Amino acid sequence: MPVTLPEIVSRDEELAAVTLFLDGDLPAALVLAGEAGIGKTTVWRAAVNEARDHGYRVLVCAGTESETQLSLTAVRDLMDDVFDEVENELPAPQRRTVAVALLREEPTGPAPTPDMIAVAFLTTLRALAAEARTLLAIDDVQWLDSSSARVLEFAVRRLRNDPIGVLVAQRVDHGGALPLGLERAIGGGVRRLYVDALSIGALHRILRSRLDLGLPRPTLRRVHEACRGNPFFALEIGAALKERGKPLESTAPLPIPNDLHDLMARRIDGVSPRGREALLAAAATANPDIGIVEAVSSPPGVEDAIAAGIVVSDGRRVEFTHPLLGETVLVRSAPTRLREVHGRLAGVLRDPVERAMHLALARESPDAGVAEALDQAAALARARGARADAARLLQEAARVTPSEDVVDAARRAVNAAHSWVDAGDRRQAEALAGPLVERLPAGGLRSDALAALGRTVADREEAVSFYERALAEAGDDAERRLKCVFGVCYGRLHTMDVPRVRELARETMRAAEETRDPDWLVLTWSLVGRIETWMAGANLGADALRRGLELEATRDPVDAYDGPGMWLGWWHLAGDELDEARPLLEEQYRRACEDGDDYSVAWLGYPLTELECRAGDYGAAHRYAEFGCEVGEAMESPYLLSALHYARALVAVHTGDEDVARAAAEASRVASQSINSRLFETRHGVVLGLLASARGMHDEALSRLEGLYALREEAGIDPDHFYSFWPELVEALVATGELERAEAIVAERERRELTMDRAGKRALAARCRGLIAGARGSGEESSDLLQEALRLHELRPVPLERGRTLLALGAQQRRGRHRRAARETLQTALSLFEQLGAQLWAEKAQAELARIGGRAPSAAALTPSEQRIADLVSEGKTNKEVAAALVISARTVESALTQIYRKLDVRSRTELARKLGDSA
Amino acid sequence: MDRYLVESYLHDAPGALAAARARAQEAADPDGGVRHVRTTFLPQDEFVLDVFEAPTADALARALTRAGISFDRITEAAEPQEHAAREAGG
Repeated sequence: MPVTLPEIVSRDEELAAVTLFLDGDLPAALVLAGEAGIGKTTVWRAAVNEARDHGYRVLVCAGTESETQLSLTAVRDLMDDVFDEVENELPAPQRRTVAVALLREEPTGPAPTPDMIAVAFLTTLRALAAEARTLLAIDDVQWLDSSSARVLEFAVRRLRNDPIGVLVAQRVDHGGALPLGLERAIGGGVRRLYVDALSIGALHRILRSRLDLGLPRPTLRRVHEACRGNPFFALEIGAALKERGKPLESTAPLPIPNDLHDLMARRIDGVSPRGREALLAAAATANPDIGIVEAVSSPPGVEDAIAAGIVVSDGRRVEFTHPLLGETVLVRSAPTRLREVHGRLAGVLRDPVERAMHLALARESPDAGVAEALDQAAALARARGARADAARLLQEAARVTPSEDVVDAARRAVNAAHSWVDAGDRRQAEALAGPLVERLPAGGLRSDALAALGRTVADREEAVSFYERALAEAGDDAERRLKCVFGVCYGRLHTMDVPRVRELARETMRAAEETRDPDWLVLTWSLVGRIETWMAGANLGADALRRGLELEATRDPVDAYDGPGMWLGWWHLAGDELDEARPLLEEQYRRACEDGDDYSVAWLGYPLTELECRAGDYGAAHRYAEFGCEVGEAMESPYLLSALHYARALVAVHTGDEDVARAAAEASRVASQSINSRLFETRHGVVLGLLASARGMHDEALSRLEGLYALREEAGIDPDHFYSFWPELVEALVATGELERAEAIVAERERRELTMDRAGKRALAARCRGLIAGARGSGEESSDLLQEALRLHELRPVPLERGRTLLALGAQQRRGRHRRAARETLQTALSLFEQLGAQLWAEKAQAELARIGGRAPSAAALTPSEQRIADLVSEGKTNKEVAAALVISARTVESALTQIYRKLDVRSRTELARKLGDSA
Repeated sequence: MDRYLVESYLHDAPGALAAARARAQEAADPDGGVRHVRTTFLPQDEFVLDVFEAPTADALARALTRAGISFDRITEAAEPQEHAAREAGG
């Protein structure tokens, strides 16, 4: 229902901004910011009414500052009225998720995750927006429950061409971050408007129209000074003056407290005792239903509170006319009185979780029965997907557990710590788990507390240390041991202690079999398989992964990162078995998208980028890498950023964009260092080594890659796992004359590859042998080996590698003075590189071609990439458009144009177009 | 005839003073004895101060209301004799 507003005074600019926002392009956001009482909600309400008049579909919620606020309260407020309308348009799993979150259905089966709730919310929004422009209107956004805030951030981050607006009122002083990640999500479509102090004239108008109070100017001026133009404060002062009755002497001070809270306190004290009871009941609950407030206040006094103008009611709910009034009621209530009211609320509320919240707040002293009730309510909250509620209830359950029930209290506290991590609040988890570790004796519970600490820290070394301690105290409990072992394994991978991980992974099989829990078995097969593939026990590893995949197919899948599907796909990718890798990785990606599991979607961008680089689709590779980085930034996850910046750098090496490659590699290194991951940090060296190799800078390639090869061997990691770089290392060794070392590496690779019969890798080995033979002067042997490599490439096509082998063969043919054959081979290589967009390789092929006939590469001839840029520019495209078309940076376009202008002796785009037109 | 000061709010915008004066003049009712004397606009305070001559404050209030003018306060205004005479054309 539209709200009838009092006259809005002196907000013309704000209302004009609202109209502009509602009439403008969507998606867009308008943030109304300002101090408490300044009039944000008045403007916000006017905007909501105007939106409805404009034909918008409006979803409304307001944050409340309440210690009993349940998770997802705001989401429920937004969706409750529209669910019936859209439920048939939601896929069945999402419909069910929403129904449970809205408390319309009891939870059965796996608890909805925050991601699932967020995806369902976004689907609902889009269903509504398909019919009409839709507005999400949120008042007091700073008080949204954290679970709802995450759902809204998720949805807002995904708005693209959706006709959805976001209107937010935010209590804040000037500056500070925009709420809900709006800046990152909507960028230029966001406007923040500060709702500022009113003038004396405007305040006078408000006092007159709301209180029928006209004041002499001297008094008005003093009121204005006292309230600093804040209309809410002015009204409170005005009400106090009106109550006083007699005029104020010009030199007398205003007879009111300076503090707004004290002023409101005096007003609240003026309400009848039973009215004050009703106010306390309304302030103490997050959902002040009028029936509940009446039932709790004794005797009922809602009418008195309404008559005093402190609350209003629409017959269903009681609301404070301003949140500051509710705050004041709570702040001034004696703790015993407040506890008593919470106790009464617990007696009348129907929802078990809400009831439990009040039960906890009512209880000061320990009570075993209450603790048990809170424990059970926590389980229900968890089943509903309300993880923060579960954490809070467990924490309260621990607090009220009698001191003699030491084990129960500790168990609840530890579970609360883990629940806080699940809810995304690592700080709370750490604050809880840290003292537990100090206090508890060695044993299972302390092991759990240590494991909770391991989950809170980003630094991998630190995490491993907690998990190792947890493992040492885990005892014989199989499930506890498994959790600790997994924590140690994941951490030790980052510190590159792979043999230790392998040893532990094998131990976990015994523990997993003991639990007979299929989910643990899936995870363990996945872990064992992953480690074995890393350590070139690859057949064992692949078998374990397949076994895990078969078992996973019989139940709900585990997270992509932990599951066997991604790792088996990656193993195939490492062998250049792209046809086998693709369906596995894409299936994981599809599933993660459907579940709204942003983290996994971003992470999968890493292997998928490598896949597309090998397959030759640099556009697709670029998209995976960019999206992954976006999510990593939004989640502030150095773990993701380390991987996805590396992925961006890898794409840039392939497309020849050196600036981007170096910047992205550096960003990856910084992110890796911040979590102290030696493993991730190696990627920086790999990608810069690949870049150096592509540019023919063999000394640099050698210095970067040789150390990394040794490091991986030392750690027991097969250098072929993750992005393979030994062919570049061999090429650099050959170019710098270290033929014996080059031969040793190839021989080592061949021993492994033959075991696994991977044609793609044998092709690379043949090419490397061809280069070595050529360097030794055995031209014919070299050509035969390179031809063999080409034959093997046909079995496992990786376009860039085939191109590089053609380039090597063409160069060898040229050295052998087989000019015609050389020209044909090199032309084929050049066409392939140009088709791919592999700029640096195309330049190499061009340079080799120019050497045929003894000519040095001509300074005047444009390289293929320069030719492409010149063609696009002469069509009239801007630098930005050219950069987008070729998937390179604008800076690269600019520096290429400098070269092009110099080579063709032109000074402008017009001259360039004319010159190219003349030569066509 | 007594003089009265009328205080009201007006949003500060280009042309506000002219608008304030025009609306005050609309309230003038020669038959009813209400005469607009002058208008002062304080832009920073968004305050309009109109001086009227009128038989009584109530008569002035009725004239303002008929003209659709929202006002916040009417108080009696005392001004020097020569000022009043000059304005009356004396």
